[in-house]
This record gives sequence, C-alpha cells and structure tokens, in this order.
Amino acid sequence: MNDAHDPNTEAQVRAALGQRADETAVSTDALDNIRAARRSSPWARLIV
Amino acid sequence: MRSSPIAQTSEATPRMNDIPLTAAVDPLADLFARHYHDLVDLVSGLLDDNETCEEVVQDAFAAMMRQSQPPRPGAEGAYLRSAALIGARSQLRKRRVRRRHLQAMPSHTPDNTEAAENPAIASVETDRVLAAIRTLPRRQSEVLLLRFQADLSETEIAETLGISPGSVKTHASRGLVAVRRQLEDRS
Repeated sequence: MNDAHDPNTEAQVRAALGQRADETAVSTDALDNIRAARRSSPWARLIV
Repeated sequence: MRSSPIAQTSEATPRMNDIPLTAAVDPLADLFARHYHDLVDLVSGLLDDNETCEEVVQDAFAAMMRQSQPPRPGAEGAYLRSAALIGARSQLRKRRVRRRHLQAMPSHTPDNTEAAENPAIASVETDRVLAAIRTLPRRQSEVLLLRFQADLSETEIAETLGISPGSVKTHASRGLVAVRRQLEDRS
C-alpha cells in the first residue's frame, strides 16, 4: 500500500471534518440530561 | 436523555460559551464545559444528525459516571472520547441492521429511508469525504477523526484508543490513502 504523505487528502479530510463540526450545535439542557443520569452513579453523587 | 429538543441551526441554539456554568464549584460542569462540544464535533464525523451526536456524547458522560471509580484526574477526556467513539460505532451498526431489515421488506421504499437518515449536506465535496471516512475500518476512521477533527497529538490519540503511537501513524497513513482512493474512484 502506498502510504506516502498526502497533504492534499489530509487537507480535504481536515476541511470536511471542520465544515461538519461547524454545523453542530448543542442543546441547552444537555448538562441537565447528564446530571439526571448521575443518580445511578456511585461516585458522581459525591461530586455533582 | 433522549428527549432533548435539538434546534436545526447553530443560530437557534447557544454555543458552549453561552451556557451558564458554575465550573469552579461543580466538577461535572467543568468536564462538560471542557469536553462536551468538542465531543459532539468529534462524533459528527461519523454520524450525520446532531441529535444522535448529542445522545452519544451524553451517554458517554453517563457511562463514565456509572463506573465504580472515576477515571484518573486528567484522563477524563481520553475516557470520554473513547466512549463517544464506541457509542457512535454502535449507532452505525444499529443503522446498518435497520436498513437491512427495511430493505428486506417488500414495501420498503429506499429513497425515503435514506433521506430521513441522511439529511442533505450542503457541500458535495464534504459529503464525499465524510462518506469515505465512514466506510473506513474502525481504527482508521477513529484515528483520522481524533487527528484532524479533535487535533490530538499522536500520543493523545494512542492514549484514547489504547494503541501504540506507531499504530496511530500506520492507521492515519492507511486511512488517508483509502480516502484518497475512494475520492479518485468516485470522481
């Protein structure tokens, strides 16, 4: 397999992933959702 | 966990910096602030809708908290990245199984199913590259995501995936070659 360094493909991959990331958003209640999941955690109760 | 309303555009939902946090007195909020959005970005390279990306990352946090002992201090990011990638892979497997079952049904209409699960991506080039990444062997796609999406060093990628730095180089190189060949084949 030809594994020579390929800066062009590398740049394409980086650009595509960057563009996809720009489209992501996070919900305002994400942290609350995670907090709700902590109730079954033996250690998280100590820190949350 | 599954019912969070997800807005469709970034303008309609706040970015991480807009969410009020009390990190100084809340370790979980601190972890959330440092890793959550980056993790959603990371798995977005494998999954094509925000809601599933968020579910996978929230599950990663929940999985971390279900451990009998927390990760050692400083290793939380590696743990969360690994758990999120595993969750994303699991989602992809479930989708493949669902598609196989649907395609086996006489009344199945492939176009409708595909359209529902794969919202159009604005850039055709981006779509082609992401599609190529998603077909790579697991380690290769994970290494490319961690390297070019999360901007991790080879050492950090090795720690996250539990492999050697040499293997990271090998998977990255082979992954890039495979992506290039797929792009050439489809052009």
